[in-house]
Amino acid sequence: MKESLRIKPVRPFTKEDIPQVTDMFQRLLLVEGPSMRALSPAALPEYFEQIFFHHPWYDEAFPSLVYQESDGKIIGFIGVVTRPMLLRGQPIRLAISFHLMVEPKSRSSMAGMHLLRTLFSEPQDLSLTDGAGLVGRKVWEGVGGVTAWLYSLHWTRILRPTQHAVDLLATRKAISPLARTLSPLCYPADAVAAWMLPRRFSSPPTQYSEEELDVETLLHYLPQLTKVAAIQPVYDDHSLRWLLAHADQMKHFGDFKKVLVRDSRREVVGWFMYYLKPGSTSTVLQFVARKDAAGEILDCLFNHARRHGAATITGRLYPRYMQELSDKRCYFHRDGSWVLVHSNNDELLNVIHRGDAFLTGLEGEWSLLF
Amino acid sequence: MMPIRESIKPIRPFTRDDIPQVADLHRRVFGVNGTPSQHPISATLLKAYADYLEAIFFRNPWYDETMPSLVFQESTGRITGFLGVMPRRMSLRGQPINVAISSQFIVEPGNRKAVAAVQMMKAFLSGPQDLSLTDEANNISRKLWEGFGGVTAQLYSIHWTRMLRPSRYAASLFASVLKERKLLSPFLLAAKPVCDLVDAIAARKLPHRFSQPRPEVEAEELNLEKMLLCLSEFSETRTLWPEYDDRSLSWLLETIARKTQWGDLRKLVIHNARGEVIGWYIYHLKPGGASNLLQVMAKKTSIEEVLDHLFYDAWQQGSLAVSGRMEPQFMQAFADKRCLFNCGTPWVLIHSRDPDLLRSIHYGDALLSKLEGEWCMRFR
Repeated sequence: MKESLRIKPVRPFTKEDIPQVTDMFQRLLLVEGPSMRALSPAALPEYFEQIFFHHPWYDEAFPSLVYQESDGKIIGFIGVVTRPMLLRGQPIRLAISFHLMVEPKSRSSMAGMHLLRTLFSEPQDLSLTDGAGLVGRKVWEGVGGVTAWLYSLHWTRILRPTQHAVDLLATRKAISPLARTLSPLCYPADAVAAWMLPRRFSSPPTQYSEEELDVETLLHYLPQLTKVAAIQPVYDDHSLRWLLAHADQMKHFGDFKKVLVRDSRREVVGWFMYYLKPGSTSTVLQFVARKDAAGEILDCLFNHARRHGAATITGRLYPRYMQELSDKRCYFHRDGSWVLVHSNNDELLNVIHRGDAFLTGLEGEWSLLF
Repeated sequence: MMPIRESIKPIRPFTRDDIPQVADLHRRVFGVNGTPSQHPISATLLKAYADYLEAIFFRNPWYDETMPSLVFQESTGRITGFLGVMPRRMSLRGQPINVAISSQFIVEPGNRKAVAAVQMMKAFLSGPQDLSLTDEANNISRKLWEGFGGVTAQLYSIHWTRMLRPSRYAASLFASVLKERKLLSPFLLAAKPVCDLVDAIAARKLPHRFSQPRPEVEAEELNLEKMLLCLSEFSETRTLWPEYDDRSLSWLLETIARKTQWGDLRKLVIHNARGEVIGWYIYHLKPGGASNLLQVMAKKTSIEEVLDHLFYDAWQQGSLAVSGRMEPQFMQAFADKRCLFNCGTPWVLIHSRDPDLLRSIHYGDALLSKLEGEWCMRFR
C-alpha cells in the first residue's frame, strides 16, 4: 500500500510545498492579470498558507493537490477550499477549486487532468470553479465536468456614458493622452446625458436608507433572503468575518463597499457588496434582495456607485435576477472566466443548470484570490 | 346529466365556428399593430383573421385533435379567452416525443380574466403532450406558467445582437427612442451620411470589430431537400432535436416566408473547401434595419465560420445589425464575434413531466430555434 502511494504523482498539498508552488504561481499565473502585477510576490507564501491551510472550513480530508514528478519536482497544482452549503435545506459540501496550473513543459503529462480526476474522486457533493479560462474549461469537460452556462454570463450597467468611453480610450496607449484631455469634460457631458435620457443614465431616487452592512446583520438575514434558492450558502460568525476580511484586502479591485438597505419602516430590504473604482468599472461581489425588491436594490446600487464616481458597474449573473437586470438597462456579455461544475448528484447539477443556486462572488473563488 | 355538465364547462376545444369571435377578441385585446382597438372589425380584417386562424390552427401539418387550441366560453356563449396550440414532433435521444407550442394566449379584460387565464393554462398543460413550450412569453404568462409547475428555460431566453453598422444602428435606436417625442427625427435623417462615414472609418480603423471580411467558405441556397438532409446529418449533436418531413418543413418555411414585414427570408447552407456541409442559417433580411435570425446550426468547430458568413451576408445586403436567440452551445462563439447579449422577456417557458427532457433543455442540449417556436404562429 505504502509503495503504491509513493509512486502516485498526485498527492495532498503540504506546507512544505509552498515555496515550489508559489514559485510556479508567480511564473505562470501572476503575470497574467495586470492588477495582480501590482501586488508583492513576497506576500505569496503567506497567502497560500492562509487560504489553503487556515481558511475557516479547513478539513484535512479535502486537501489541495499537487502533481509531483518522480524526481520530486512539483509540476502541477490545484487549490481546493471546501465549504458547507445547503441543498433544499440539507447540508452538502462544496469544493471550490482554483489556481489550477501545470508547468508548460510538462503539459503533455496530462497533469491537469490527473489533478482534476483526483479532485472529482473526493467525497464532496459538488466541485466548482468560477474563474476558469478556455483551456481550464476544456480540461474540466474532458474529465466529466460541465459548463454552468447561465453563471458564466456577466452583466454591465453604464452609469456615466462619456466617462466610460474615456475610460475605454485610456486603455489604448496611442490615444490615452487624448483621453486624459477629455476627462474633465466627462462630468458635464454625463450630467447632460442623465438629463436627456433619465431612464437610461440616472436611477430614480429611492425611499430607502443605506447603512454599513455588518456581519451580524448579514448572518441574520442571509438565510432568510436566500432560502428561495435551492442551493444556499451557510456561514457562521467566524467564516463570514474571515471571508469579508479577505475580500476587503483585495484593494486592487477597488474600495470594498458593503451596504445594507432598509425601507421606511427600517426593515431590511436587501444589501449589496461591491468594489468601487471611481472613474472606471466597479465590480459587484453580491447583491441580495427581499422578494420583489430586486429592482429597488439595483436602483440603490447604481445610485450608490454613480454617486461615488463609478463610470460602469459589472457583476456575474445570478439568474434569478435576470429580468430585473434587464429592466434596469443592463447589458449582458460572456467574457472572461467560465463557471464549471462537477457532481455525481444529478439533482445538484439540475439546480445549477436551472439557475436556482445562490452562487455569487462571495461563494466562489473570487473572494479567495490573491 | 353528462350533456348538461359538458355544456357548462367553460373550456373547450377551438372550432372553426369560433373564428369570428376569436378574431374579434384578438383584435380587441392585442390589436393589429400592437394597439388594441374597440372599433367594429372590418370585413377585410375579419377575412385576414379567418384565413390566419384557419391556416395556423386547423391546417398546420401537425394538426392533432388530441392537442387542440382552447377557448374560454362564458355561459352566455361569448368567447372571452383563447389559447392557440400547435403540435410538433421532436425526438429525445432518438425517441419520438409530442410537443405542444402555445401562442396567442388572449383573455378578455374583466372580472373573470384571472379565472379564464388560470383554467385555460391548466387545461393546456394537462394535455397529452410530452413537452409544452412557449417562446414569446411576457412576465405575466411566466408567473402563470410557473404557478402550474412550468419552468423558465433561462438559457434560451437570452438574445444577442451583432452590430454591423454601429453608428447607423445606434442612430436608428436613438430615433426609435425619440419617435414619440417627434424631436430630433429630421436631424437623424440628415445624419445618415455622417453615420455612413463613421461606420466606414470604424471598419477601416477597427477591422476586427466592425469590418466584415469576405468569408473563405462557400454558401448556396438551402432548399427543402438539403435542409432535410442537414437536419438529419446534424441530429446527433443535441439530445433534443426537431423532426420534420417534406410536408411539414415545406409548410413551415412557406408560412414564415410569407411574413414579409420581417424582411425577405434568406436560407443558406455553408460548405468548407472540401465541399462538406459545415452549417446553415435562416434569417429575415432587413436592409436598413436589424435582421432577425431564425436558426443557425454548425459543426462545433465551424460555428465561427458560419457566423462570419451570416454577418457578411447581412452586411452586404445592407443590414445595420443581426439579432437572434441564444443557441447555448455556441455562446462563446457569439461572444467572440462581439455580439451583445440581452436577457429576459420574451421568455421561453417549458413544462414536462419527464425530467430527462427538462434536463436536455436546461443543459442547453436542445435545438430550440425560432423555427421550433411561435414565430410561424404570429398573426402578422
